[in-house]
Amino acid sequence: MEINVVEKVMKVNDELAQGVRERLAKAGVVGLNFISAPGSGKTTLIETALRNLGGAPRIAVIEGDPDTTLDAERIAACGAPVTQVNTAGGCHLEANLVNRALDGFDLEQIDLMIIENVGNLVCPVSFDLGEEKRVAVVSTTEGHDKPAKYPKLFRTAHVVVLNKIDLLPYVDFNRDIFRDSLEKLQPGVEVIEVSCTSGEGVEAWCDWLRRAGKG
Amino acid sequence: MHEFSLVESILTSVFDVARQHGNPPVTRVKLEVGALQQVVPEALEFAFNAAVKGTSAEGAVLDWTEIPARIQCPACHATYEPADVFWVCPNCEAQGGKAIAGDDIVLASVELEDGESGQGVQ
Repeated sequence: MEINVVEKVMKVNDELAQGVRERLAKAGVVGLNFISAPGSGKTTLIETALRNLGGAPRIAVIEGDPDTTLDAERIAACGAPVTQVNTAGGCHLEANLVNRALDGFDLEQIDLMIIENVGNLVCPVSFDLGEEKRVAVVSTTEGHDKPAKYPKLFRTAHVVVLNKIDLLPYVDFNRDIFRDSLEKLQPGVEVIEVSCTSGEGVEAWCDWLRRAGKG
Repeated sequence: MHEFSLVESILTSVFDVARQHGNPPVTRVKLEVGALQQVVPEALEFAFNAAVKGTSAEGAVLDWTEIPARIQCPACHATYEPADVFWVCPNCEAQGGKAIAGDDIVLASVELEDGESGQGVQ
């Protein structure tokens, strides 16, 4: 006996994500989902922003990693509220983990909730976490072909941060090819070039967060 | 790697359906997988077979149909099947656009062992 179902497999996650979205909106918090490969500098971008923004907007962070509390310790050292979520080897965050992590924050005291996803350019893209905006981070050492290889992320990102631009003279990274493929995947997508080491572009990055924090 | 998460969601729905029909063994699960979903069918099947071990769906067959991508052009609103990772409208050459099909994974149907026809004949 065949029973017709016709149900989206992501339904449970999508519904939970909608719950997170409503929870954040009710408290006036803007959720950001940071997605990148491991080692592209997501945590450093957050640290740099925390040190430069001086508390406005008020930022809290959910750190997703397969293991350890290393990233949460780095964020806590900058004075921001943070919760570490370990996925026990899992390759992405899901909405239920974020929903649970939100219990640990006083949402009324927060403007921006940064969710740093597990470093991975594939799996996190399929799981809505209830964020308002998706931030894709690529570093120059990863190569200019990342957008073409991982199109789904770059079609859905609200902003693309090109990180580690101080290394451009030393790596084989073609900015024109990078920008051109982004433009083909998502015409008009905003790109911010940053080096947390030299400080170049940090003000533009902080400014983007300020604008995001105003909802 | 997220195939295991997908299988978990699929099985939650599958066992819901089975429960509503008195919990007979599950013999077949049919999926529709969108071409834009970054899912490897072999990995999904591997995860499925591992997850159903020891359950009433052990041995069930996982069937899937690929649903081709369909893009709507942001400029002229024509719909087309993309030929490449970069979407270009064949009508007006505008880039980008919105996926209107092929971006979902859908549980289409669940086949349950039929108690009546499965017993006592011949």
